[in-house]
Amino acid sequence: MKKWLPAALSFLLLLPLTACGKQNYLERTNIVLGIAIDRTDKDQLLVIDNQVLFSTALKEKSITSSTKAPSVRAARENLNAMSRGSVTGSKLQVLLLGKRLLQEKDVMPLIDVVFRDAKNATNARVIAVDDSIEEIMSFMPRDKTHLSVYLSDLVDNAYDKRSIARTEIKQFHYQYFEEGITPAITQLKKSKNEIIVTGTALLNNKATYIVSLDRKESVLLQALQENVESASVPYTIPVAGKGQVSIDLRSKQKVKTSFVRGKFRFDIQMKISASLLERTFTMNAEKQVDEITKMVQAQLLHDARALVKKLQDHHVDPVGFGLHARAFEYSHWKKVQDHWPDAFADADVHLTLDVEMKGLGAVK
Amino acid sequence: MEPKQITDKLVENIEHLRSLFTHTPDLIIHPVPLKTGQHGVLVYLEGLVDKLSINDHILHPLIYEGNAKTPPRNAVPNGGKTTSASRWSDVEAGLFQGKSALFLEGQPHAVLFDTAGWPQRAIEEPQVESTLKGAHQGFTETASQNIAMVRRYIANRNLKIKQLTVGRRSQTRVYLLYLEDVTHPEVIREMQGRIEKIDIDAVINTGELEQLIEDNPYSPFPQYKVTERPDVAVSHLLQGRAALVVDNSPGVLIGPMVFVSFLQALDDYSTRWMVASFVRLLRFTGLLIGIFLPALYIAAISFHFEILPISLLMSIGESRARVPLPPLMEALLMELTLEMLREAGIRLPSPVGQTVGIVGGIVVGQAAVQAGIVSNIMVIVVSLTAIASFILPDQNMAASIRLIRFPMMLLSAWFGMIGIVIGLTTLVGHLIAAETLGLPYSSPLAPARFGDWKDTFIRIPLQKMLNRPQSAHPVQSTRQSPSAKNRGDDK
Repeated sequence: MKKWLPAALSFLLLLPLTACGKQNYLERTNIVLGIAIDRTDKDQLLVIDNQVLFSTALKEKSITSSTKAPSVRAARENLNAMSRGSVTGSKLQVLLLGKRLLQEKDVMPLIDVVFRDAKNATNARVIAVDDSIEEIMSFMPRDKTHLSVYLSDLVDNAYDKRSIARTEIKQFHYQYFEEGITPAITQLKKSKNEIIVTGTALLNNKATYIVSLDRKESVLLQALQENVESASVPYTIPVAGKGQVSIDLRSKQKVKTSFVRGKFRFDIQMKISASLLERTFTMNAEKQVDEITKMVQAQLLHDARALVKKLQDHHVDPVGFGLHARAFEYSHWKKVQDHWPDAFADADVHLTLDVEMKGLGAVK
Repeated sequence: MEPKQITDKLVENIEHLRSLFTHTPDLIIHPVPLKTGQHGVLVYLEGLVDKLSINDHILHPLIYEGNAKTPPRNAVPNGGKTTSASRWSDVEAGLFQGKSALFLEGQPHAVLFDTAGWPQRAIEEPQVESTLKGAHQGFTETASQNIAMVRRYIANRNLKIKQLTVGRRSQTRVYLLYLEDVTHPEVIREMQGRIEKIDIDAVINTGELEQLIEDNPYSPFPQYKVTERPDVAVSHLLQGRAALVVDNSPGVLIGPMVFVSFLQALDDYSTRWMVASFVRLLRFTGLLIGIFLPALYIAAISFHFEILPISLLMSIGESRARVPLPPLMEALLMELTLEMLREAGIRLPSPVGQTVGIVGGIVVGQAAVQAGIVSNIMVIVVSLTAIASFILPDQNMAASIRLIRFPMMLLSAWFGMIGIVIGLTTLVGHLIAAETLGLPYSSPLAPARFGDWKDTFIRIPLQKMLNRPQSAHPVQSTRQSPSAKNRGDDK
């Protein structure tokens, strides 16, 4: 008996510790996999959520409901009122932001609830939608996959295979609050029957939409971020008058940061190893390796410089040059840290690029 | 007043015998007119003796061949021991052991011939402990035969046997076998002490004795191994453990055991080490699945479905949506059904036993899912747990694991993952604290004896296993010399 008493007592003490509260049965929970937010004309939020529908009888896997409310949490209350079970965002996959909303408002306070309520998932992909979110959210994948899963797969695939930015909510939070970098998120649009990943949407530090990058520019952006160090990215280079070559590239780079004559200066040395995937004109690839390499190098350099210029023109720094500036030129960074994108727009960026052809493909 | 000594008057002796054994129709009192002219009677219990040897080796020589010069005690049937007894209690005990007693006129003692020959089973392969590569003979209900089987494996005089008796009424003979130069003397002393302390009416088989001498009757885990295989018993003897052969029971008790040795099978040593290691790991996985899978499933779908990948979540959700029962009820229903099916299968004669499987398989596996009473994921979970607990080589341990599953399920249904963690902590705490015959039960994990890990989760090649495991504290640890030339362990 003496032996059992402490055990029983400690067990009783453990009971209030657990704090699990009530049970939360899976099948009685409305699991929100996707939320889309846009603004309405009347300065309200249009919130559409996409929930899992557990039913073997129906073909549909998801159910979409929309509401108008002043805030996301208020919208959830509205949606809760419509639901059979409790609504939870703990498996959130995608967070879609309408372009209109992005252009006009700082979205961070709107999605504050996602971070503040610890039950919410923070690995949902943040996506910018080119046109109306309603169209995307009413889209029905042909294989009846759950829409939100479809969207997150789409984004993941775009990131893995084509190097288009993928930003999860927690990264978005970092990019927003970190002075040395500006947010970049995946951009989607709906064409007639399909949803297409169009590229990367660049936002400023107020999470307001600035400019979009197309897919080719997105690849270079990832290359500049050294994100394609291990992933292969096909990159198509038009060859004047002849056709085009496609290459598979990996990049590494060295950035030298300095402060010269009142300006930041970044010397970027990109090393790109490429292999040939396709050429649409006749040539002796083996003999003309140097020629192709030169061609590729010239084109890549041109595109990369154009991209950097575009970023500077629009006062955005998705690459995170500000992090280099802070690391190497802290005293100068200190003065500009509150308006880094402007300082970046002013900076000298010298980009050199070295292409090495690693392979010419399996055929001669 | 009962006479304790045998008198020299035959008639008195017979009378006393009759008064001792009333209502004993199987007591045969056979008058023997000796060739020498002496009068005598041969007394035995029919059924416990070999009648042929009584006839050929006792009656025939006494009646036709004997002369005054050769005392009857020279007759040696079956090559067994012949003793003389002058106390009635010895005669009585002897008769129950299958001996036959010869009383002669004018002699105040009886000659006891070893004529034991009771009905016994042929040696066959034990059905509950089958093996792929081990020997196909199992212990029987006769202790002497069982000891002989062990002796055949260890032809060494260091194999010592202590004979003990348990049970006031049953007088069950129990033999404590051990290797004198290997087994720690404290282990033997402890085990012998515990057996001698037992004061009970009767012990019917090893399972009873096991519970009477274990350290902690409130532990869910078995603390001794009971095996029907001589090779298993020998393997444990060589690891420095003691074996207890109980007469009338084919189960031989082995101790002190440690937790992990219940997950080891003799086949592990006769198959090549890579395969054996894989199977070992499989068993440890099975152990974890067997205890935790239903609990994890309940915790996941009633508290933290976030831990499930999205596609799995959707398929589980779909199959759960139709089920009217909460997860715990669903799991309990299925697990209890499974346990009932298993229990029903054991007791039923094998032709009927198959029907149980079919009924269970069809009704539970298919119809219940179609009727929407349970989800098909639950069926998978239950089947997986069943298979996982079936791969444990020891029946007692497998039964314990099956039992622990239920409190785990309750904990997980009440407190989710935290409940499982509490359960796991309690279990680990218990295992660490547990002792068997005064030695730590969870050795070599706690206390950590890394030398023994060679033969715990995996089994390294036999050439590298030079020492006996330390878990039973053997006094002689070398099992194999590194040169692999000199293998004798006799000093």
